Amino acid sequence: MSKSQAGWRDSNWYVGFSRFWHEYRKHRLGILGIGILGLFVGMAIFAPFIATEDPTPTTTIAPKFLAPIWLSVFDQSGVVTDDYLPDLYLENAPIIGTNGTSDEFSGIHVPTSDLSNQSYVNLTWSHTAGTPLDFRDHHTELQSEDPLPDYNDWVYFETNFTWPFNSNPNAVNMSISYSTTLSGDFAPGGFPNNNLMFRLYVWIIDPSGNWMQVFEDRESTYSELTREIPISMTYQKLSSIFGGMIEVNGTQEDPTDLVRVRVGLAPTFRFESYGGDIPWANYTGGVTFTVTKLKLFASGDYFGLMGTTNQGADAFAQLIYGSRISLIIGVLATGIATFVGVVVGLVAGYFGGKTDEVLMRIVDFLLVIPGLPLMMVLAVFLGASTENIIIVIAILGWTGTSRLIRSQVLAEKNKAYVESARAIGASDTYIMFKHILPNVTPILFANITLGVVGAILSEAGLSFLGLTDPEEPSWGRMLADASGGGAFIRGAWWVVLFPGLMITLLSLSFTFVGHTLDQVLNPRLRER
Amino acid sequence: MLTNRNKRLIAITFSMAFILMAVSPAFSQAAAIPSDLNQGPYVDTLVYQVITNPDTVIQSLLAGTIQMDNSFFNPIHYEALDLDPDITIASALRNGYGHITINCDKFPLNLSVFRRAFAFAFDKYRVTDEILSGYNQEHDSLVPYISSFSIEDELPYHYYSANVALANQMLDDAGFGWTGAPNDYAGGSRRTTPGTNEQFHVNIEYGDNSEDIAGGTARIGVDALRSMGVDADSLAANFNEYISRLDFHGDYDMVFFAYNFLGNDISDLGDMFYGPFADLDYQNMMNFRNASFDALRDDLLYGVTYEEVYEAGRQMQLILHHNVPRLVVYENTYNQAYRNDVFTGHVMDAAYYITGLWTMRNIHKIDGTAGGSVSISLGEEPDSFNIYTTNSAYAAAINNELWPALYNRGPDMAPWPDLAETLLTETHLDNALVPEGHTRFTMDIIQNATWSDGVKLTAEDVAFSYTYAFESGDYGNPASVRLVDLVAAYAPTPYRVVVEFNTESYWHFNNFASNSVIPKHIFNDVDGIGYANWNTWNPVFDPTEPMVNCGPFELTDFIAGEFYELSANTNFHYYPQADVTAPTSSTTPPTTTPPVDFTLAIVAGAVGAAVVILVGGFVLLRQK
Amino acid sequence: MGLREYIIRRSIYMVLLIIAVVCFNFFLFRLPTFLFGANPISLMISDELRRNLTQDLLEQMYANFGLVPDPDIFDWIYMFWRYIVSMFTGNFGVSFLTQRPVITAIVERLPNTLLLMGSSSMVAILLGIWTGVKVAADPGSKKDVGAVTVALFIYALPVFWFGMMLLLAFGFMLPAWTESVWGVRIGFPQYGTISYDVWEIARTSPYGALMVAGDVLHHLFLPMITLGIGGYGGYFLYMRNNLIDVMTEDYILTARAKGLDENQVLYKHGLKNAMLPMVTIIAMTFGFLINGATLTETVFSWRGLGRFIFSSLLLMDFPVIQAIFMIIAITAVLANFVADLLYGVLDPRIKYG
Repeated sequence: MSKSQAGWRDSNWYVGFSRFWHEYRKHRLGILGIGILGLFVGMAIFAPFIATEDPTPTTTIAPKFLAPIWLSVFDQSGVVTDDYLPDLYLENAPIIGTNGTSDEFSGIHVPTSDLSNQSYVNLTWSHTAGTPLDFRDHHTELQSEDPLPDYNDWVYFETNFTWPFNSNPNAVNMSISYSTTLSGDFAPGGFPNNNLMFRLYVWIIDPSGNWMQVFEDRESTYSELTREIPISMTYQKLSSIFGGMIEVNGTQEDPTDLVRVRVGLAPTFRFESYGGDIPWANYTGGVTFTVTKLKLFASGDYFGLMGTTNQGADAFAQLIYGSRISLIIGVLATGIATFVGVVVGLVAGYFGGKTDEVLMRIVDFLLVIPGLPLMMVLAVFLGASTENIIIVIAILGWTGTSRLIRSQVLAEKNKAYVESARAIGASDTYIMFKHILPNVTPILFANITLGVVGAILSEAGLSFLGLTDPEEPSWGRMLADASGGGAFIRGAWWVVLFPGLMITLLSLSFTFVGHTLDQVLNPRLRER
Repeated sequence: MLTNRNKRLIAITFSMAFILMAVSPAFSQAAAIPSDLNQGPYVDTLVYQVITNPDTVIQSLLAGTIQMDNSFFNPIHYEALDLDPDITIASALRNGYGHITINCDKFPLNLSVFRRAFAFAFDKYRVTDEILSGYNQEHDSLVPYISSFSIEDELPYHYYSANVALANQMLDDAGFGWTGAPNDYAGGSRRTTPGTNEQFHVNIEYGDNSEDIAGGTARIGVDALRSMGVDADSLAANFNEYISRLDFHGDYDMVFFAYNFLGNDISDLGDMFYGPFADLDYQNMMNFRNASFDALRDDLLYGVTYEEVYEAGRQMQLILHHNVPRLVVYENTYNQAYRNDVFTGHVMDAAYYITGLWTMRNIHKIDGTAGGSVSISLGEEPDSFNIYTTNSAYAAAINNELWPALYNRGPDMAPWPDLAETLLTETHLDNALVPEGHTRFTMDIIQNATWSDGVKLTAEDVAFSYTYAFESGDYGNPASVRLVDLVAAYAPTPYRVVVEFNTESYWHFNNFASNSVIPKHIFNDVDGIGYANWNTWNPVFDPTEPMVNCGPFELTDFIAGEFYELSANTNFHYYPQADVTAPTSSTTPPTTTPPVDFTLAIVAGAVGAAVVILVGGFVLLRQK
Repeated sequence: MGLREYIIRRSIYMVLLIIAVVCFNFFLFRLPTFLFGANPISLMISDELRRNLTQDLLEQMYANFGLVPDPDIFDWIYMFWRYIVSMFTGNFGVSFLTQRPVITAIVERLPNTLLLMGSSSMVAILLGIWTGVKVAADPGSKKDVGAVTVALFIYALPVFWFGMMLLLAFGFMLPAWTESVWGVRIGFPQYGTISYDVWEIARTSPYGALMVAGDVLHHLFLPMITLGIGGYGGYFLYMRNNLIDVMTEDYILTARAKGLDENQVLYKHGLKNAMLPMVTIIAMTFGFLINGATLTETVFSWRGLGRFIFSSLLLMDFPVIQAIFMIIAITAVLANFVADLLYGVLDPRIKYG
């Protein structure tokens, strides 16, 4: 044993620490490790200030697999994420019109006034029994692709926007808010199923004049309360609406870049005949749709510092918050494991004999049990929560520590100071914890830091297999989402590279610290 | 109205075909469109390749190493697939739905007003928008939209959008209170039960292997409950575990999973929600009890005309819609991609979609010549090829090509004759010889069917197939469950088979017509496999267990977990005769045992690797 | 104590360990019952199967699997007895899901696992020994520090992620790039162990076995490199530290004093002695070969035991996991035993005790 070491061990805590630090800081890897570790700890503590978005992996905040924003410097035709319908709350009068010749349909725009700060458009149909309407009967013509209503008589309002870009938006978030007023035979309590006679439609008309029906109120459940209904846009719909405006070799299919959005109210085919009745001949009543908001929010290809995941969550927030889980699980699991290991090692080493034999056979036994499979089995049985993962990792982590402590105790227990403590009648517990433990502590430090690495990697593996809490942001889970969610095929390398890099860096910092501690504290290696 | 139903079904089928033709230019010019759906197969081999990673499936499709994928793809890949001119995307509305099953036995979930309020608060539009990227249709009825029995568009009201105000109003009216200030969930106030005024908690469980779709849908359900002030959480659980808990009427609140209909058959409704079955294991997992529903059961199961059954089904759907023992949350679009650069003739199937048996039978090269090898990816390896024990869709994909039946389900789910040539259905009214209340089916079968071991397929085999399923029911064969009313199955002449039930029902035909027909000389109870061994019979994997069948293809080679090669059965009873003389491709695959043994190859590979590494290591070590 | 007694002692010890493993296995897979009071039957028989069984049949099935419905303490003893008997007679049961004997499913996947684990271990060991020796000759040099840093880096590396990066680069991006440049896809396969195209040609070709072997190697390469690199760090550090230790021993000094060339000292005397503990480590490694590598096998869709354990676990196919677990643990015990013996036989200095 070297002299310097004997020196700082025997002196008090503060002097001991400063001597130790003096040794430690000679190692560049150790300093680097501490530096990186500090960064991660800061990241974990200040996560809410660094990442502003919700880190829950299942919270969708943007389209899936968007690229990090800094990649946009290579892309000239990127789409800017924004609201594209200029008049979100319909404050200005849109184009209002009717189709067909019937005079039963009307529309009106009501701007904000002193009485109400709500502007809206009313689409109204009031029917008088026996008035014939122009029925198209296209249901029998096998034209399921026909976007137009079942009657040629209907009322609409229209608004439009210009699409300034040369590519499709990655996704469009569209919605319509409206309430419905029913009267006469259409009101509840009139004829049975009289709510099935009409529908509200939303069409998008591309610059070439092609109609696309993006919403049809199949719900037929009407309420005077205003509800916002999301209008989902599949990839096909987006490309057929926006695809014609992409310029290829200076020409584009569509004549202009003006996209029209039309909202209409029309009767459906049941109005011709339903349930043995002829509604158009017998019903007298009215329906008014009050549309208060029409939204079209288009997203581009880029989002945030690290892009989005397969569920459309912010990858950057997950990367930052992921450090919490890794650190908590790494440190706590190792802490528990070390505690158990120390107690077992002390007891086995100090008492020896049968106790030692039994404890060490248990250790041997746990060492031959395959680690990862056992962890998987326990994780599945216990259920996916952070506490359980900590327990699972700790169960297998203590064996090495206990062996190490035991061998040290065996070396220490026959030393003079222990003998003398025993001679003056100190209890076993007292001797173990007050005399022996402090003397074997230094050797623990390196062991603990390396144990943390194991725990971090185990956690990453278990969460990669999906055995951890799905709502908890973790790096392993990000990798699982990436490989299961289509990152490879989409070329979304950023959701593969960065989470793994974070795991590597964090465990690397612990490895460097542990390795340095080992060199500083372990006499055998130092003598070299 | 009824005609509207049928029309819609036909319309859907036709429009599918129409879309297919429109998107596949090769199809419309194809000179060799088979005049008869049964004719085929035209290709030499089908190769089912096991590819577990969905990314790799897409990559393989794009690279052309596979022609089709057995399953639907994540909408996220739509763009990549759509941009490739060699790939066609076929879409169909799924004949099934995702739903949340609610425990109707547990207070306060047993109050139908609570379940209805939950249905109103649940936002189905959000599922479409966030979970399924728009490839979905909001749905309420417990019968899928595509079924000719569905009354989705005639329902008096719907649960599509979130109507939180109404839901809360309903709970208030029903006496549900609050622990604190009303409507203050954010402030910590929670709903209490009516009467007892206790706070309660609701868990929505979902399968832990589908975090994206199942988990996301369950979380939307939790949001709905919380919007009503109910203390709720989502909980990932193991699928098999909770299904067995449901089967045994164990404790649960709500569970999300999916249900698929294979045909245009709603007879299951009668058992699934039948009150007296609420205490019976494996039945009525909702524990749903409703007297007016129960009264309709006999009308549904033993109705004899479409109209009778439709009417019973319609009323049942209305009752279920109002009482919500099970909340349907989506009916998604089944998107499948396939390559169109070599093969054409794909057929959209309402039960098995684009990779069903009709596609495999009709697919052929674009230039009209016979032959070729089609690769199809499978997401998991087939677990077993025993037609009675396997419930894996991956095994079914292969089994469907191997086994004959009297009738297959056609592309539109209507019966399509395979072995059967004529069908005579008789009751006592038609034929006094048929006992009162009985139904007798008499079928003549085709005469040129031959088992793969050369034995002629006769009516004896067909009759025996039903006897086998019925008798092995005593040993637990689930195939017997649908045949409880069977009283006789026999073959009066070599090519005529009679199947008789002691009841009358619209559904009897569905219960037996598409069952697999098995060879009597292999399965008989005297010197064959026997009734007791229905579940230990393990063909393919156990070389000593016979796999004698009579389908369009034969399983000729496989490496478990890697690929399964099916070769055209040239003795198949609908094998295109005209093409036998036509120049088929010269490389007819050998049906004999291949000269190379896989274990040998593995050993060779291992030895090769070892040699390379050892020599390399040696060289490295020597150069100091 | 002589070698004979040592062997006897280790053998007894090994048998005791195996018994412990077998018992532990029984309790591990009944853990949900003990923890949550879950019905063992509901965990043990697939729902599809049960759905259609009568009560009699269900009971018969319980009996087949050595289970008892609503067990009391005596039933548990009975179940344990049934389990012990079947384990020691090599009857590992039948999978709940597929009805196939568990052992055939395991044997089917064994070659793949052994191939992957064997070859990657060889890569790791050879690389580790080679670089360890290179570096140990001059501890503290730039080369040494660099190599140690790399080894530490590998120690901290999540291996499955390394595999994902390799797959992304060489399985996905490289073929796409070569296709855009030369019009052909050159790269490594993305999944599986063998491809049908090669198999189809191979089975009619006289050189079929060679072609298949080449194809297997092609598939093997990326996962092998992944696991090889992943395991390399440990072997390297072990070899290096051992050799540095050995090089401070007296007999090395003697050898040097005899005027031997430094290389000869290192390889003839140093390496020979440093290999001793290495051999035992390698022996133990081979005990864990059968273990498979669940994560890497998942990344590369490699059809081995590691992935099989995991997928069976998710399906709650208990007979399968129970059997694999047992086989793995017993192999590990045996390998430990062999390692102990090797150590005893090879190291003349050991005092058997």
